[in-house]
Amino acid sequence: MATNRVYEWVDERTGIKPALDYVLYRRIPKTVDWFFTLGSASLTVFLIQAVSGIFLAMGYTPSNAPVNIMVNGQPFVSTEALESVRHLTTSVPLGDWIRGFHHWGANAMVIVVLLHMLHSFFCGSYKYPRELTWFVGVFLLLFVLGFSFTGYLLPWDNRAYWATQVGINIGGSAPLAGPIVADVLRGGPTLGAATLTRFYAIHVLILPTLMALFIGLHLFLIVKIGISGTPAYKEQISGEYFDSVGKSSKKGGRAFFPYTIIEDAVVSFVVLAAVIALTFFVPVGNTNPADPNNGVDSVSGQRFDPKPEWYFLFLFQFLKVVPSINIGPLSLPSAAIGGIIIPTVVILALFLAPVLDRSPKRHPLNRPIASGVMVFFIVAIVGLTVWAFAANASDNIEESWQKANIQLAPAAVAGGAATGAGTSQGSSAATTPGTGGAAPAGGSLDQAAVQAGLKLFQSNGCSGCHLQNGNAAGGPGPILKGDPIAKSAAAIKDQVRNKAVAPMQKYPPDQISDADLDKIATYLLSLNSGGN
Amino acid sequence: MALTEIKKVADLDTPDTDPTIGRRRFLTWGIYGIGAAITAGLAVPAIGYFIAPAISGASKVQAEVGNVADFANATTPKPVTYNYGYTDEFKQVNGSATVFVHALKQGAAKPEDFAVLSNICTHLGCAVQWNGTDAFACPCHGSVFNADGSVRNGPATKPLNKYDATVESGKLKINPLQSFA
Repeated sequence: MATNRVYEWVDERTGIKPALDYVLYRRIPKTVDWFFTLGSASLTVFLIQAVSGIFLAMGYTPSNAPVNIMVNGQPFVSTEALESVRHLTTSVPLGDWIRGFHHWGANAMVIVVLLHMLHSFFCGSYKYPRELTWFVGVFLLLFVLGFSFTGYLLPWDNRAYWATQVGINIGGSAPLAGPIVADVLRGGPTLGAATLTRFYAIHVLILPTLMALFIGLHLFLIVKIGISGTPAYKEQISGEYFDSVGKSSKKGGRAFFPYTIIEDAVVSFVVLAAVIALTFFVPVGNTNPADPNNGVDSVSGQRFDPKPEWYFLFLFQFLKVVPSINIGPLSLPSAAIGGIIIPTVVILALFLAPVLDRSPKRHPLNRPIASGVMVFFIVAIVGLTVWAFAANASDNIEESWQKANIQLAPAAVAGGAATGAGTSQGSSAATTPGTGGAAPAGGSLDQAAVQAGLKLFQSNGCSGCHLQNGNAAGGPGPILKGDPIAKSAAAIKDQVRNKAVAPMQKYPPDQISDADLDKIATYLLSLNSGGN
Repeated sequence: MALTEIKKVADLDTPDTDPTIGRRRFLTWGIYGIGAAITAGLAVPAIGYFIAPAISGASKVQAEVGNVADFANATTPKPVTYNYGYTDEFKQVNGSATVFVHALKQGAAKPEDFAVLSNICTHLGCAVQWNGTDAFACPCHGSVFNADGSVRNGPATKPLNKYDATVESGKLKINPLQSFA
């Protein structure tokens, strides 16, 4: 066998065979069940994130530099970051897959890693001799949360912007070091270009490096010490390393390859299949461009109520209800208590679990305090999340008004009295002056025909693929602004009548009349006669 | 190479009383010293670069909120969306922001006659909304503020921030990047 000869050639020069044999044929305790696949499932999700992340980075631009876009014929300012994300999601072949993998992979990561942590906790796996494996694992959990936080900002849409604004301000509420932490994270006093590049560097360089190192350490320790296995009710760890490892782990078990790894492979495959299914059935979208200063969605004109991703909702709800403390000279605002002090204590306690719980017992029912505390946190976090979902069902700001017993002037209810943007028309009027020269293009074109063309563009279904205005990314069809064909009326008509290729169909005159096609062409020309 | 030979080469079998031990110790400390110098040479500029934003102050930017005359009798806070532009890093960024201008007396004309309230919630930074009569509410965690910016309902503990306004040739001006930390 050629492969055998290659393997022997490599082995002769590296001595890899004994090492591989050690890893593959080590004995795994018979009590290792399907729950123990959660670790390798986490590794699989990390690989999904690494691969999809690398390819996302090829299409993403970490810049808040303004980009002029058109939505429903109205000019708006977006950013290179958001438009690059939209472009790679909607126009780059398979871009929606890469984006979907990364988005749903991030969700899967949080779920799988948390379950893995809970399983290890309830099995008492953090006890001697696996304390170090646990410490490294808690760091990995923190890195996952760091990935979520830094990755969330990158699309630079409204949701991203406000989540980061709140997240950084939580850091800023920390006693003493808070303001420094916030400035360092933001790269300055305001959320802007420097924040985006900093978060990008942390997300794609610093965290992946740390994560890979710590995963390596975690795996090394698992192979070195052996897997703990599901504890029997009376099982106790012994002070002697080889008693605990030797008896339960190294002897009498089955070989890792192929008996354990087949279970890992099955679960990893199921996780990947779930990510693929979500990618296929639930496309990932974006909210409108970040409009930092008004709290109003610049495109829809509706007030934008910031809410975090579902796995941070418990913290969101917690921050609403946690009280401030004022006892004598001690004055702690609620943001510091709920956002910094309590989470820090909880994470420290989790990290120090092997130090705090030193009993030799491993079975969860034999450790009522440790298990009870963890169950309390599970109930609290699930409860807060459910509460947040229930509260989100009603309008968030309505709740604020009601709590304070405030009557609303009618205009405020429409969502945006503050900016004079009660309607979408009002909103565009309010924000357009700030857009830096994104005036509607085409001074020499008949504006009435342009508007009529826009209507026909929408009513004839063109906007189904080229979005409402043929200009913003978001549909399967190309962006028509800047498209070479869309720069000549004759070419446009030729394309629609004769040259369209699948998935676009050819439109004969009985479907779109010559007069209508003229107007549509005029509208498309208006997109392309602007100065940019 | 056998272990004994390695030890011989590395002088590891030399007894501590041997005069050459001084040389070995010197070399050991030399390695530590050079290692520390390399680490510091990399880490000091890197860390300095990373935390520098905490030391540099806010940029000085001026933005025109509107005509003083328009606010002279605004005895309840008047929401104003104004435009500004500034250089973010190396990019020109144009934006619009909302402040609430409040004349503290009838016929206000001087900067100190006005309260220019920020719309950024002092709890965790979401944009508060004005109810049109007497209060601001935050869409995030439920803080509510009175018309003068003071806290009516938590979790916020600090009143809405006030910009240091100036008046130049009949225009009310602020620094949209003013830091309130």
